[in-house]
Amino acid sequence: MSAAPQVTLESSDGEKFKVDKEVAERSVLIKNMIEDVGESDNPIPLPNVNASVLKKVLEYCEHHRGDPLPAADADPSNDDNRKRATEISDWDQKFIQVDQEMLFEIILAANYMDIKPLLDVGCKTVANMIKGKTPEEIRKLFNIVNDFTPEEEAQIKKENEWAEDR
Amino acid sequence: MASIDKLPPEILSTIFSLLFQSVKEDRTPPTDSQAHELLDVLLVCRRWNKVACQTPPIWATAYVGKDQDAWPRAWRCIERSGGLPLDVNFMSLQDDEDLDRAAMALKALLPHASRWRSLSLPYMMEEVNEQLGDASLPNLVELTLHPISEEDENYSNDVRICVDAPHLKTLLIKSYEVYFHDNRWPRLKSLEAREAWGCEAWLWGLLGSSQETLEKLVLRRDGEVIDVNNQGLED
Repeated sequence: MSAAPQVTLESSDGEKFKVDKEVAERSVLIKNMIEDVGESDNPIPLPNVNASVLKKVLEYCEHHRGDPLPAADADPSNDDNRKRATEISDWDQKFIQVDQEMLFEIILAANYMDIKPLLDVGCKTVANMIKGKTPEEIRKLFNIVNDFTPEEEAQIKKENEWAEDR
Repeated sequence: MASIDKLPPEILSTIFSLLFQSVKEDRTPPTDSQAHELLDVLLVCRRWNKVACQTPPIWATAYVGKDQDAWPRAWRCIERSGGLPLDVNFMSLQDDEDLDRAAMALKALLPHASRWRSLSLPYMMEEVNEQLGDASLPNLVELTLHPISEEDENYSNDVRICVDAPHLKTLLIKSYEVYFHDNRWPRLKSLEAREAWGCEAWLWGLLGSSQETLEKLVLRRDGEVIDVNNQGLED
């Protein structure tokens, strides 16, 4: 039995990762690169992803290596598609339990490498962190500075507060 | 710079869309929680406000409540929702002034009736019902009728809604007793009546040609399910 074909990925800080082609191809970016360039022994450079983030992304790809790929033409505004995207499996929830810095780096890497399911897991995690919080709680959670003037804040409230007895 | 500021606008926009979709999935029955969540997001900082204003899915639900700005807010929903299907929710209202404001908001929304996907309406809003008249709602799939206020739950009402909604699939009635004057809902698949006292007569009148397409019928009284799929009702 022949060994599974492998490819080498190189992170922005020069670390090389040898992984099964099937795992690497969870990334549409890498899949397209392999198709365009053909199989090669040269490492595939990923200048936007450092080693610690790439390691984490590859852990996700390895776990989901056999999953069906999402349809390229799936309409994200379609309720059925979106409903699936809002659910996070137990494994994914544990996987994404990282500090904020790493969470945002994973989201950026998933976006750059075009790994839609991982991007969805990351975005849903942030959405869950926001849900039910007041503006002040959100600012505190993400260390965001309130750059509104009191007048601007009052205007936004006036324009969007639908009920008087909120 | 906050770590979250590294995320480009399109990702932040996706996060907002997921947040609102998630809030929407929680809504049973429809509530104003989306409107509250929207205000919270808009008030975080200028960047979030700008991205949220440019995220059509979060503006595709119009809430018409008892506030002075119902009309301009309805307009913002139309402008910012970028042509997406609209969910229109008229909330429970209190007095004539509320009704006038709601009717004004409807004037802004009605020219875009072809985009309405769902409509939630108090069944005693004559001003609104009159405006709706014989409105054609070609893409409406869900219609909810609810009491105009909480005190109003035990009244019998004559609902003169005869909207033309050829694709209507779900009708939810949260009232004591309502009557319909017409039925142009040939694809109705699901009907649930929350306070279905003495409803059999109107029910059969309502169903009309929909009897053939109806797959799910649930009748409740005092919150208890009294009948499912017409097991206990006599023709």
